[in-house]
Amino acid sequence: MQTPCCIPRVVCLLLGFIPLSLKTRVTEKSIPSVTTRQLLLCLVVCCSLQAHAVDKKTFPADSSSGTSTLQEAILYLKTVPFPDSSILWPNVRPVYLMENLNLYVSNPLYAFENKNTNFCGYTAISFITFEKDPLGFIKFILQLYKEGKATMGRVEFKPSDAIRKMAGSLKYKGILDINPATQMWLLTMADHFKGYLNILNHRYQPGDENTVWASTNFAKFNRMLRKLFNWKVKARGADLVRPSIGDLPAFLEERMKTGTVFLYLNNRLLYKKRHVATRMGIPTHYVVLKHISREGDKINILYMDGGRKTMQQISPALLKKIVYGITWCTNK
Amino acid sequence: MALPGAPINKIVKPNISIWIICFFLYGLSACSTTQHFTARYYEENKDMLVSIRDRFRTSYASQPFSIEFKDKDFRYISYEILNDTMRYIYNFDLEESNLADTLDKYRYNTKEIIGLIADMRSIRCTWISKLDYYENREKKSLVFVSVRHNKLQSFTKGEKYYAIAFFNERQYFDQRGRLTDKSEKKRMREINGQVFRRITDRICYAITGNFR
Repeated sequence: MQTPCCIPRVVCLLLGFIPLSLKTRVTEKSIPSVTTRQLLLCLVVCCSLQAHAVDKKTFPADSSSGTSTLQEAILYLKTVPFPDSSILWPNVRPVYLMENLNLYVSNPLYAFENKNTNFCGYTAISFITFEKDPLGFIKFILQLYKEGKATMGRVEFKPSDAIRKMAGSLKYKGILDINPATQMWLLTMADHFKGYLNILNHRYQPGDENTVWASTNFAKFNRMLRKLFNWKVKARGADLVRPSIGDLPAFLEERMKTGTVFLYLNNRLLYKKRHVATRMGIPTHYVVLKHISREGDKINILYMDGGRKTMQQISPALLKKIVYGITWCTNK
Repeated sequence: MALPGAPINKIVKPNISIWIICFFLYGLSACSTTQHFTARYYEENKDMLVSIRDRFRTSYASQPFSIEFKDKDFRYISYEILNDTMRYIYNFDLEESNLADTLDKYRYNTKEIIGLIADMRSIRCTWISKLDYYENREKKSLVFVSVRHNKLQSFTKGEKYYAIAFFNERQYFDQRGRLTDKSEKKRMREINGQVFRRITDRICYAITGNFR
């Protein structure tokens, strides 16, 4: 199962020894005396608070993302001419590309599944991208394949040479190994969108799928949604600070009634991978919340998470502990 | 503080023998326990490990699932029920009786699964699952087992797990016994981001920081 880490370990280690007082304000007078480590902390906190501040604003998109049905996408795939091999994507064979496009319409959850990567943020967005406009997504992939560039929402994607060369040849990433269109899409997204976590590694090199190059901080995640969709996007939370919400399940239930809800989670508590106590609480994973309900003193959550929908029963205390960011999107 | 006239070198320069002893002790703590453990563990527990693998394969074929022991005392488990589109994750206290009710509800062979869990507990096996992988676009699978053992807990290196991969087919290894890619023999093949080493042609192990 997927267990990507969105905040790299190096940042955590750098921050791990700093006494974290988020109420402390950095004034102009204090800046000359601060150390490099403290400056880095300020940078991270500022970027986190930027995401936190999104709460009170809405971000309209300029151009509208189209909507279509799965049936339209299936019909289109039956009629669209088979693409010629593209020199722009040397490792993507047209026959496998078309197989992948057909998988999107038959089982979209599988089509976006990947392992041992930091693509969780992009994967969460991919589910919704395809769910809202399957025809538009398939046309986008075909245009990207033929022309090496394509537009979605307000974004023109033009992947670098390194990305085009790598797509189609990723290995040991689960079913992603045989899905070249998903490789193209995820690598292109990671190549285009950058946040403060990507400062140290901006240029893709083979193997960067599970490094800081592919990481997504909360502000970047919300920015991607605003740019890709014609939605009102609102958010609560931050990279290092949990949102202060009294009745979290009720809050999530209420937001789900009007739109799509994404959660930014501390996955190390939800899916334990080792038995040592996790001292440092940091979010590491993005999921799409599909359902939440109470059952006695427990909470049932259903979310889309790489390859399958997952239903899990957890305590309200654990839910509060793992949720660092909530993003909800409504139609304009 | 150095005395007047005393050679400064003797006071400031650390004694080289201390460095040698430290290096030797570090080497002992870093290598010996783990290497000794990996060489013997599979052979000593071969019958039980193979039995667990076979019974897991049989039960999985009728209805897919994974089992995880969540705590160091091997009392709480997480049971993942899998189907084509859904994964249900349930947590159980083995000292309570609701595990059997849930297994009955989902039509598992309750007696078989409970026996499997008991045997996993007896050899401190903390995780068992089936992993899919692809070779030349062909879907294949392996059984992945992790064992938590006191000999793998180290103050300097932290907690480690003994992960075993049971393949269905013969695998390829380099001269150092590392699992390699079938098509690119010089490329190390990774499972969950780890390089594995040979036990037999179809069974490999790794000492890893994560059990899943």
